Amino acid sequence: MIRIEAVSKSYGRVEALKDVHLEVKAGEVYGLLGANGSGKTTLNRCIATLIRPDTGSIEVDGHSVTDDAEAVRRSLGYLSEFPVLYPGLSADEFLAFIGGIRGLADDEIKAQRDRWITLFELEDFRRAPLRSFSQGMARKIALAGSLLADPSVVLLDEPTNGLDPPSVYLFRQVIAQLKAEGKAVLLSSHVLPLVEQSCDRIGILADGKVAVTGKLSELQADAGKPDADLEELFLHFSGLDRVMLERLAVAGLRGS
Amino acid sequence: MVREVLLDPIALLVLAGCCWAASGVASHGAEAGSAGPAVVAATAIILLVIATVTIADALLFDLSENTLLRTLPLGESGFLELRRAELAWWLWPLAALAASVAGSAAGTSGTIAIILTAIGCLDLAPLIAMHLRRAVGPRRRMVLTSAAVGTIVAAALCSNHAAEAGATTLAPALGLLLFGGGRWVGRSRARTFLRLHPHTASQVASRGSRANGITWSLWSRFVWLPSTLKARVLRDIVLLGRGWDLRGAALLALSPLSCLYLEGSLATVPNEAALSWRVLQSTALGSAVIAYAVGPGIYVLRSRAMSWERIAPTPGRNAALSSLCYGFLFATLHGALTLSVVAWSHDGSHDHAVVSLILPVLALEYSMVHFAALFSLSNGIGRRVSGEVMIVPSLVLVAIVLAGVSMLWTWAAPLYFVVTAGMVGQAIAAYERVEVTW
Repeated sequence: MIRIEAVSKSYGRVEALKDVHLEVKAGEVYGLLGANGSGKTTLNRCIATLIRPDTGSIEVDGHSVTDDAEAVRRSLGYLSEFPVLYPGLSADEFLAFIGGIRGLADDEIKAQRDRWITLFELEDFRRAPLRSFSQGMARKIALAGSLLADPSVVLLDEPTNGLDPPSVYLFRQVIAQLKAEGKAVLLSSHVLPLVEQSCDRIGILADGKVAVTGKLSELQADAGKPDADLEELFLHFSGLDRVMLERLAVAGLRGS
Repeated sequence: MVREVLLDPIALLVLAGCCWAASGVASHGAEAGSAGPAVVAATAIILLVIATVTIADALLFDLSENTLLRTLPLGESGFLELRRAELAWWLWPLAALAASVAGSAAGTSGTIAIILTAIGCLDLAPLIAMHLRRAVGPRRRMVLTSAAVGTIVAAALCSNHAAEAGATTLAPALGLLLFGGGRWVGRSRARTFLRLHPHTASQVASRGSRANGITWSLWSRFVWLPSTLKARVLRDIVLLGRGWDLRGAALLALSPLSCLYLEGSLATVPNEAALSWRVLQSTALGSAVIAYAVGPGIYVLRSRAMSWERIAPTPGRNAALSSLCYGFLFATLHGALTLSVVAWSHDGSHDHAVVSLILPVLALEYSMVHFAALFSLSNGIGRRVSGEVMIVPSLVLVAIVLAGVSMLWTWAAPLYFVVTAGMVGQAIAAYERVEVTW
């Protein structure tokens, strides 16, 4: 469903992505980990047709993001890391807007809107202006917006930012449902337990490259640490374990 | 921060330029047969008060740093003093602008009136802002915008009835009243503020539970378009109605002023050619204002949440078409108003010309909106300053050329859309090519 080959992207002199290869199959949840500035958001934006890769190719559902962006957009749902909502619209109105621009019929919009608003327990706030929403509530509306048109490929960039524990639990169930429906999900997150519990395979981006990819057990085997948890593996493969220890030493602290 | 902005040499240069231009317009407006000095000076005073209240409201309630400030051991009166000092800095360039207008129109008495008003406003504006918040809540922006637009329209309506003699007494009296009111209120300011501000600030923090104003579902009954366009047009209308595009709302509300100008200019028309030219002049004035409102104005608001539209099907085509639909709505209303003025003003003495004017008037209205909407999409206005700088002279040029063509060869006016067919493709391509990194 998502096939990325030799993708590079630069912003001026800064190389955000360097020769990235990655594949997410139908019915698979792929977790993308990386430190701040490692290129996760840039990769998501390239897949979402918001920016164009400098080199390489990205295919979504068999369509190229550069040559057939229109087809890609029809099968894509994207939740960005900092989703911007119109503060003057209510939750109902914003979802009606998203449904409308995705070409859904009025009754379909209403059904989908009710489904997500009920799931996220926002019935009492559906007519409230979005400017009055907390960060977590706004993220729920953004998530509903990205899933409203029932996309076959879903990109989720830091989806649980600002969500409370019950909402994170709900969100995990949503991901499981997407997987069961045969959708391809690319989940970028810093919340390691979420990635560990929800993802079939995990990739670690470091300095714009995919340092390693595979199941958790494969990552443990690659690192030669069969009992390592995801945090330890993340630090190991992103080359941050040594850096962290050095920084702790400078600060006069000892790492555990 | 305030000082860095307001004492910046470029900002001072821009302010000087604005004052010079405003004084020129004001002295013209104050001439006999126009608005008259008293009306111009009074308008400047009222607009200064409205602007100061708007700034005071933002300083007291809207800035995110207020959360931090209110946790500091300032107290309510300390907070007010801090914001009042900041308001004084924001007030002086506005006062300079207003003084150049009132001074040009009414001489020394106008300038003195503005100085008195500005001093009075320092005390009055925070209290008016606070009471306005309590009384109308989120609708205050519309109230303030309506008050400003209403003042300008009233000044225009008074143009033929203004008494020149009032200039030396009315403006200073108004200024003195505001100064005295401000000083008087100043004594009780701290006490009133201490009593009201915490409650009002808490109300702001708790926020409303319902979106105010016109609703989506109501408007959706009146917009017959495919869903991809309808959603975009509804968004623009609802956000405009709720005061999220204040610049656009103010411009759209001012656009009927061109019809007032037309009504006055049709009093003596020597021949049919002069009639056509005056109608087209008025149409160009009004449609340029509408074009600016529906072009760069609303585009800035839309582009903030552009990523949602960019990942929806055919984003460029839908963005272009919906912008045109939104603009054509207001252009049609303005065109109809212009033609109705021709038909019904001066006892219908020009009504025979209406049919022949329909094509050139509507062609000019739609062409201007078409140009501004597509120019905004092509040039990424809101993200690039150059686009906003370029559109003003471009619009003026387009208006002059189109009005001239409509005057000489009426049938050729719609050819604009054929000549500029490539603009649509360019706008679509530019919209879809822009890298959305926000």
